Parts: sequence; structure tokens; C-alpha cells
Amino acid sequence: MRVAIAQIDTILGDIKKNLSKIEHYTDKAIEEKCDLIVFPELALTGYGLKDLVYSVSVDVKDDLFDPLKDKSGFIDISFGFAQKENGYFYNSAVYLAEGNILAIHKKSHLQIHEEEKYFTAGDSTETFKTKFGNTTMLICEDAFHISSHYEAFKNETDFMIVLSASPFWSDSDNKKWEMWENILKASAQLNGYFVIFANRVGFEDGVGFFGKSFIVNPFGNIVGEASIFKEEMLIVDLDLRETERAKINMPIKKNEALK
Amino acid sequence: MSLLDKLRIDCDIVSTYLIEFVRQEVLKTGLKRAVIGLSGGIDSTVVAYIAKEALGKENVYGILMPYKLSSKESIEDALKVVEDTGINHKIFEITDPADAYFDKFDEIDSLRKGNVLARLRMITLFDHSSLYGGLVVGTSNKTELLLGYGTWYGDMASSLNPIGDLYKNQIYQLARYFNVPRSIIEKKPSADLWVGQSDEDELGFSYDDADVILYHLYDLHYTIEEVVNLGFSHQLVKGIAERVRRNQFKRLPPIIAKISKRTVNVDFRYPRDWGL
Repeated sequence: MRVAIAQIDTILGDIKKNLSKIEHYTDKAIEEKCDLIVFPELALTGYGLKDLVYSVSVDVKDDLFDPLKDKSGFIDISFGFAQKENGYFYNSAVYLAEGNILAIHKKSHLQIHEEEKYFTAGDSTETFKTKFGNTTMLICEDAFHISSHYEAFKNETDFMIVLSASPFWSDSDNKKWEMWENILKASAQLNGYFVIFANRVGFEDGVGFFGKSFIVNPFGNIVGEASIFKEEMLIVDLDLRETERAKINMPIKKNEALK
Repeated sequence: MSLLDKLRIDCDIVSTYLIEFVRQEVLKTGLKRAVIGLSGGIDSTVVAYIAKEALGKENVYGILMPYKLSSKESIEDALKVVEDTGINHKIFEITDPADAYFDKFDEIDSLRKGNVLARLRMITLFDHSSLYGGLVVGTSNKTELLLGYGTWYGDMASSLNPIGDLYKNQIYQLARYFNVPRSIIEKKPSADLWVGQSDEDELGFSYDDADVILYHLYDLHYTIEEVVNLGFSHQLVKGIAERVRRNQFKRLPPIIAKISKRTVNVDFRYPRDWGL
């Protein structure tokens, strides 16, 4: 299986331009014979939207999704967008496959400063079947909550996709990406699944997103990592049998009675 | 480990980040040039090196704005930066407009004078930003911003500021990393409002102490007592915390009397990079 992560920058509030960028990278990934392409959190709109949330959120029935639905006949596509539903707004991720919307995840753990004022939190972590196995999407801060990883584990996830817009910070002890690597390597290793971390780049009002998207295999090793601060597409070939091999190696779930 | 070690930054990563910040946040506005007030001090020097890397030396304009009481070394140091970076420069003396203003008063104290000079420099920089079609890149560091040691709508005014989240000590780390002229690193920091002025004398404490105290109070959420226990006097820590509180207004745009349901900056909230 060949996975592409499009580590993109976005234009705040300009859906048309962002959509055309998503289409551009999707076409490129199809050319490169990828089976799945993943984009960051809120890739369709930009992240720090503030009051723009009300004007850039879209209903999943919107024909805006049509060109990408068409492309999903050739490649599975996952990207973040601001979702409008029954008068409420969600920070959501969509998974398109074979011309249809296969799944939507509404971010359950909203970031307090930027998001809680505008978005409604989703209330579940869903796992759905794709042609590559059981897939779970998390959005950025969702992955800081151990309950999300536990749900993914319980649901027998083979692929965890983390769509992210994670800002850069660093001090003398830590750099932000080390936190992501630690958390997601541990999750992959403990739960025996692949983790795809798609983080964005670019600046919004001085807040810079660091990129460094990566993929962890079920043994907890990083098998591909994108550059820091640069827009680019990372392509990694994965051996799907690794989930099985990892479970023979560390048969954790076998020995656990889950509730 | 000394307390200052906690403020250590990875200069490779931070400089790359700040260069990207200036490049992207300028270019996305449709402009490609930067205008910087070059004082010969450490802050504007570091900003000049960042801007040169971000936009190319031909797109950066260093404006030197001496007043008649500015020290000669300041000009010499600023010119060393110009020479070393190869950026454009212009010497624009503000003595005439400043004195024309001061002459309207029988007496004017040094605080008012300092503020007027800072604001005249702001006018000069923003006018040159219009002249050259560039953005004014700010040079206030985090220590100054927190202490409120700057002039509101004077030196604190800019379109974007790459060093506003770096303490004075961290600016020195970057200065050494960029290998800026030695005399700029070695001299005492000064607002240069009169000959022999020293920031640290005027503030009554050293930048190193201020940095450590501010970092623990605000970045690490220590209480005043906990910072005192690190080895500072209660009076100093309390005094610095009080300065930060008293100067909060300088870090914000003016407050607006709310009347409608959507008041600018209260519940009319859009990012600067709206559509950019």
C-alpha cells in the first residue's frame, strides 16, 4: 500500500483556492500510484478562522465535494474541513473512497483558545472499514487524550489517521514534534497499528505550523518523515502484513478482556 | 545548571522559523520589502539579519534615525550591520522635526522627549514603508514587551515582529549565531536617548535577572514566592510583576466602548491573515 501525506499550507478562509490545492496534490498522488492521500486538519479552510467559521463551513451534501468524490474512485482521500450541520459547526475530517463519503469524524477534543468558542465537539471516535483495514480518524488534540487511543484499540484499528494543525513551539527541554512522536509511536506500538500523522505548514497571524508529518509502523518505528516548515508531499510504501506481524510479536489485545 | 540555561534556544531551528515567518508573512500581503529602524543595538541588528535571509538584501531597508544626542557609536554600529548584510540603508536625521516640536514647550522632561523621539521614528519608518512599498518589521523583544519598556505607538509599533517572543538573553544567542559585529554584542544595551544612558541602570535591574524572573513567572507559571525562592529579592520580583500588570495596555489595541452586538475586537474577530 502506498500512502501520500500532503503537508500543505492553506489560505485562511479561501475555500476555492484551498480546494484547488487539495485537488492538485490528489492528482499528483494518483500519478504516483498512491492508494491513500491524507491532508491536515481544516485543510479546506485554514485553521485560525475565528469568525470566518460561520461563512466557510460547508454541509457534507454540498456539491463542493463532488470533484474530490470523483477522484476518490482512483485514490482514497482524507482531509479536514469546517462542517455545518443543523445550525452547528464542527471541526471535521472526511474520508472519501470509491466515489462516496465513507466516514466523517467530528473532532471531540476541541482546543480551548481557538476552537471551543466556535465549534461543537463531536462525541465519538468511529472506526470504519476501508480496503486497507479498520481505520480511525483523529483530529489533532483528539490524539492527546488517552481515551481516543483506547477507543481505537478497542475497535481493532489497523490504521490511525491523525489530521493536524499543530503550531510550533520549543524551549530548552522540548520541541513540539517530540511530543507528537512520543505519543504516536507509543500508541502504534501498544496497539499494533499504523499511525499516519499529517501536519500542516505555513503561518497564520504569526503562528507557524511545523509540518514534520510522519508515519509510524505497528512496531512503533517512524518509517517516513516530511521536512520541517516546508510544503511537500511525503510518499511511503507500507506493508500491510506488518500489523499481523506486530501482533504476533506483542499479542497485547489477546490477553486483555476489553469492556 | 544556571537559571538562565532554561532560556537556551536551538538557534538553528529558531532562526529558520523566524526567517520563514518574515518571508511568508510579508509576501502573503502582496509586498516583498521590509523597512527596519536600525539603531545599532542588538535587537534591530538581529532583525536585520533575519530579514535579509528572508527577503534578500536588496529588499531590506535599514533606516538610521539619529537625534543630535545619539551617540556616534550607535551610527557606526548600525553601519557595520549595513556593511555586513549588504542591505539598503538611509540616514534620516530626526533632529530638525524633533527640535521644532520640543521648541513649542518651555520645558519638556526626558520621558516626554524619549516618547516623542520614538514616535517620530515610527512616523519615519511607516512613511518609508509607503515610499518603498514594504512592511515595517518590529524590533521589540519579549522582555521589553512584558516590562512595557517601550513607547506605545512608538518603537512598539510595527506590522510584524519576529523577535517579540524572545527574551533579551535569547536575542544575544541569535546575535552570536548570526555572527553580528562584535561591538554590538559587547556594548551595554541603551535606548540612546542621551549620552551614556543604560537600559539596566534606568530599569534598576539586569536583563539577565529580568529574563529569568519573567520566564518563571509567565512561561513556567511560578508564583511570586516560588520565584523569590530561586534567589531573588521579594521587592524585585514583585516590582517586575507589577510592571507587567501596569503595562498590559501597551500590548493591546485601544479598548472600544461596546454598543452593538458585534464590536471590533470583542465579538467581531477576524484574523489578520484573512484571505491571505
